Amino acid sequence: MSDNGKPVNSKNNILNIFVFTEGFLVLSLQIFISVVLTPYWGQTYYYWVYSLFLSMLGLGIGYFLTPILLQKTGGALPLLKKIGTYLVLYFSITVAFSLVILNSFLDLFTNPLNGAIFSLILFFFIPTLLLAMIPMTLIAHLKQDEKAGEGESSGRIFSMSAAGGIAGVFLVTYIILPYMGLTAVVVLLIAGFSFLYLIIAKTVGMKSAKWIPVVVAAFCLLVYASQQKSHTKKLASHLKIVYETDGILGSLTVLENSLTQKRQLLVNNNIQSEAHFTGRSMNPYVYSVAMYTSYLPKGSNVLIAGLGCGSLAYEYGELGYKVDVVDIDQRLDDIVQEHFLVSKNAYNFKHSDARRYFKSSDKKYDAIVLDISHGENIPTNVYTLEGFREVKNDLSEDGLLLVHFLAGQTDDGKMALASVIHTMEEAGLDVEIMDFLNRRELFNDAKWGGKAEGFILAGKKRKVDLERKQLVIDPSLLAEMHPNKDSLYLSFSQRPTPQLLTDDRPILDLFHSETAMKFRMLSIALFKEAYKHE
Amino acid sequence: MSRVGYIALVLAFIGGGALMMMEIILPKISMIWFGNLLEVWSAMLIGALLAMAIGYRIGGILVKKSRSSRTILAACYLLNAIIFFSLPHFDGIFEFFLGMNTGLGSLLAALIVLLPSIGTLAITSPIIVDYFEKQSEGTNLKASLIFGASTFSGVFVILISGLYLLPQLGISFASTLIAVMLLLNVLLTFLLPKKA
Repeated sequence: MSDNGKPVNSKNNILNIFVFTEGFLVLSLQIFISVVLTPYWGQTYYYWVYSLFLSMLGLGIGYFLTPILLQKTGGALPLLKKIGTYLVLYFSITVAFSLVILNSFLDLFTNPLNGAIFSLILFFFIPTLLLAMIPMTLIAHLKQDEKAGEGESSGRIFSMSAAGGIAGVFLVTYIILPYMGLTAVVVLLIAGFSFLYLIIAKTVGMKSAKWIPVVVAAFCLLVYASQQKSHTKKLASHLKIVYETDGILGSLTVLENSLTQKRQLLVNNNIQSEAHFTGRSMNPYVYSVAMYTSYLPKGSNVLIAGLGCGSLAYEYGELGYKVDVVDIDQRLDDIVQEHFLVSKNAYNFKHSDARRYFKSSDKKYDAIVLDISHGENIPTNVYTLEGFREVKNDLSEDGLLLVHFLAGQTDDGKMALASVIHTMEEAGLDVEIMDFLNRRELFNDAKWGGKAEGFILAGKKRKVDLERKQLVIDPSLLAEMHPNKDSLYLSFSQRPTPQLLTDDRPILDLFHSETAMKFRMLSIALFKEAYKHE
Repeated sequence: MSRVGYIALVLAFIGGGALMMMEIILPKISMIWFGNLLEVWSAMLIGALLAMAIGYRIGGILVKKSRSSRTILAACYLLNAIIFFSLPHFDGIFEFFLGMNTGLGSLLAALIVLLPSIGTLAITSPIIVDYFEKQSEGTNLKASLIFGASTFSGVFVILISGLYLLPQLGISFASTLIAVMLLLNVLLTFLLPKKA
């Protein structure tokens, strides 16, 4: 028996459940917020830094504030009661109105990073700060109630909290989010906060008004569900969402536009790829990439890293190549068949990260296409000296590497491009820049007005002049792409002093941040246009 | 605050920074081998949490049972200094698990590194709290200061490593720097009494 007469085992069990729930909620909240905010603000390198920063800052301030609040509230149990009530009410109310708040933030913040920081403070930092006070308050409670030493109690409490975190990561990442969606995570979190509050209410011995915060939380859940429904109805009449799913790798949406007769593949609301209703691509680079490798004979082995909406795999299938596709997102394999009409027979899908595939595969390819840079997330683990050496090892003697790359018209954008070219050259590849958008020189055309420019980097093991190869070229396409028909290659005269990208310094995402920001601003504009009131 | 109190705060600050640096660096190394996959990120997170759960529990028990808390602290920091010094050369561990299923392989590789590093760093926290509680005056909650210092060190490491250290100087330099700081912690533990 303890000092106050309650059985020790029963008290221990309640304490363990309590701390376990707290740890569960901290980690589940972290994953939930990342999934909710990414479609709005993207996931640049700086977003990652600031979200980690705010997470740790919330925990640190929570720990420091606890002794001060313990003195003000007069003890551990009154403070726990306050924390429990504030947590359930604050989280439920902010989540209930999250759509209104986030959509108004889209108008308020022109810089996505500022929007992300304010959203993180509102939805993540404050609940984390409150949650951090729970273990500290419990240590104080054990010290006061059981005369337990702080060292021993802190070991026991933080251990159970970490165990709760493991359960949270596992349940949300592998079960609830992929199989039940984001709304189920909201239900889980509100239920979790309510449960935490009810344990406190039981421990403190609250009799009256115990259910009020739980009823408010349930009402907020209804508000959240109704907001979601009314938001979907605001979509412009010519647009239709034909597929939508949430996951840790981001939300995937297939948007159909009846005016332009095209379907777009959106990753976190960012246009990744688009194709006509017939299944043919509407991106010129797809045809250019197919054209630049069209000198290869039928039956050649080709690898595409990054499936997108499957257009390139389709074009390569038409040329009679044996196509392997590697992608980190398994969901795309089903989407391209169902919504972009690409036959499963056109390619052989391998669910893997490109770098891992290059490390573990010894198959030789006549052409490898890295189509993994369109959008915000740059796979920095692939674009390194060691990474390009592994790609080179997987190329046949006359093999060709094509990298679809985008860079902003900024100093960082030029540095990103110059560094990738330099790193490819250091890896032993002969590199040329190739066009698909009617230019003579990169970053030298006023019509781009500061936007990100796309191009193809061709890397060859041996000096091969593509201009002398027998390309299967559609003359109208070539005329469209190249004002200067004498050369397939683009010049890059504003090249800064490049940096070598290595596994030890994989810093391409840092140079790519501004370009990613431009992508995000474009997707915010498109999002607002799609959901404006008619 | 007593001399032991200041030492305990410094130990917690450096230890917390090392823990955060491991959480930042290891996924970057793992990405080279297993890629930027959901399974890899989850393995890192679950591995770190598991190491913490075990470490904190052992730390809490050792507070009561160990004869020399100082020796345990010194051993934990020394082990971590060695791990951080050799971290950029851990390729063999990742290569060994490359043939396995991504989720399992990355989790096992992560655990081999994280259990002895984050696990032992977690052991130190309850012991430092114990020193701080018993060697300083006042009735205030001592654990909040120690865990607060450790967490704020994490905040500092995120900013320094995310915005300067890793982009400018690279993973090897960052992990060597942390190893040197941990050696400083080893020396500091000798200024503590044998038992709190």
